Amino acid sequence: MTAATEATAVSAPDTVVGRSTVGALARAEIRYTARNPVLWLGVAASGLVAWWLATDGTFTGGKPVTDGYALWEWLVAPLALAAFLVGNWAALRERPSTTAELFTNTPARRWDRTLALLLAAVVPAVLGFLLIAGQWVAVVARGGVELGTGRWTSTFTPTPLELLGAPLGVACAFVSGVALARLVRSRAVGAVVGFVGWMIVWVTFWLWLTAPFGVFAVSRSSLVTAEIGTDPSAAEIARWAAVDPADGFNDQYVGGIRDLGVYGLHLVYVVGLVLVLAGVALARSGRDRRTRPVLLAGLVLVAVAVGVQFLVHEGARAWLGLM
Amino acid sequence: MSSPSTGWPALLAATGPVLPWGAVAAAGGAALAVTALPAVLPPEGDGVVLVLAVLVLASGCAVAGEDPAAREAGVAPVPVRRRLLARLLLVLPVSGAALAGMAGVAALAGTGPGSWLVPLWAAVSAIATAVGVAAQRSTPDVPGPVAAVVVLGGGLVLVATLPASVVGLPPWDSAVERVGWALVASALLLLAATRDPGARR
Repeated sequence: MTAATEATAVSAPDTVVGRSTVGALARAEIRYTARNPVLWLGVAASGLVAWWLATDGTFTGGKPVTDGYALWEWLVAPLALAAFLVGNWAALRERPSTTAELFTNTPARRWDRTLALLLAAVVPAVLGFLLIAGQWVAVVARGGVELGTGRWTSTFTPTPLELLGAPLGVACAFVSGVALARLVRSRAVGAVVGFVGWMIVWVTFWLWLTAPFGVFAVSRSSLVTAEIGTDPSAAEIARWAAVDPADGFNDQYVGGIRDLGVYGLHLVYVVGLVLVLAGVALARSGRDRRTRPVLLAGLVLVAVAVGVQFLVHEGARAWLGLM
Repeated sequence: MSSPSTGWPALLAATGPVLPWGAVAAAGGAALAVTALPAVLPPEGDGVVLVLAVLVLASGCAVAGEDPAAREAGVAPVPVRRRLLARLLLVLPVSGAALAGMAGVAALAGTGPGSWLVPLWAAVSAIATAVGVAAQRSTPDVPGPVAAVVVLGGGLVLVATLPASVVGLPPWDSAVERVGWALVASALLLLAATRDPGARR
């Protein structure tokens, strides 16, 4: 290649490739992602967590309302870390961008390649769905999760809506790995930052059971809880599906009830977060008019989901209170 | 084969600029930030947050295991283990300074660090370094911190899910024994991963 043609190749205006090209790239990325051993290591570790949850009585014997169900999506935590690393790594395959532009065997731009990679989030999402579906079948087959104490006990049978949180959370981890790669071009730094994020979001799950953090959780259950005083009235207790009396850990009664409305808003928030992160990744991959709608849609969903949660769920406004 | 002409000052001076300090700084900064979290988060996680911060800090030490020149240069002009020691001599003081900062931040945040902090940091940093070296040896394309994060994250999940009957077995039912096992395992892995491939077996 002469200097003139090389300069032309580098400075050539962006061309929009057809959807079929992006589709072919996406299929290739999906294949690469599905073959990544780190992802399958995450699946194996998630399977171990699922086995642990199934055998230590988390979803069987009677549990306080703040336990058990809080770990509903926790089995996909290892898969989320693996998904982040795989996404980050895949996005940094083409670190020297000029070389990538010169030698790539497709006319697709960096923006199109990022879009194709983002679509590969479907792989960890499907794996997360299969894991949570297995847990759902096992829990439903056992008749649900019994929460509460004494006469204030209820059995909660997970609903199909609650199968969506885990795959969305894992997809969010993958997309955040890609977005971080477009912000910091270092796999080592990406791994460290991802490790911190994973531990805060997934490992310290109890932080997200309190307000206002619960509104911003990437993973949570549909159960909402609240402290209802040291001597609640019968009417107050009747508002809740399950209640725990005061004990050594809490000097107040704790009520719990499943709120699929709040959980649905949480899912909308996670979808918005995924779109925002995808928008950031695309914005950092070159100029394209299609980036703005993705970012705007994500920001609107996040704002609406967070705002409505604060409006409809009074527990969300109690600083460090249960929610 | 060692090189008598390459002294420690020259080796350290040559090693410093090529170390990926960005990852070490990111790990130290992130660990300090995590340590400060109890100031704003609910108290339930106070006991765990500092442990997680140490894990993050240790993952940065894995850059000491990254030695891209080892594959091409082998043991000449400086043996692999000597180069690793030089990298550790540069990385560990920075990581140790971050640990001291974490102890200060933890004290300010009201979650005063216990006497376990330094042994835990030593054990986890040893594991991270050994994993970084082993990853560099087996798959040169994998940065040390990435391999360390996979192993430390997996270990965290494993420790959390193992039955108490396994965690409490006599060989490792005390903190001292666990640190000892971690150091021994790391040393063995380091010895295996830094052996001279040309040496007689």
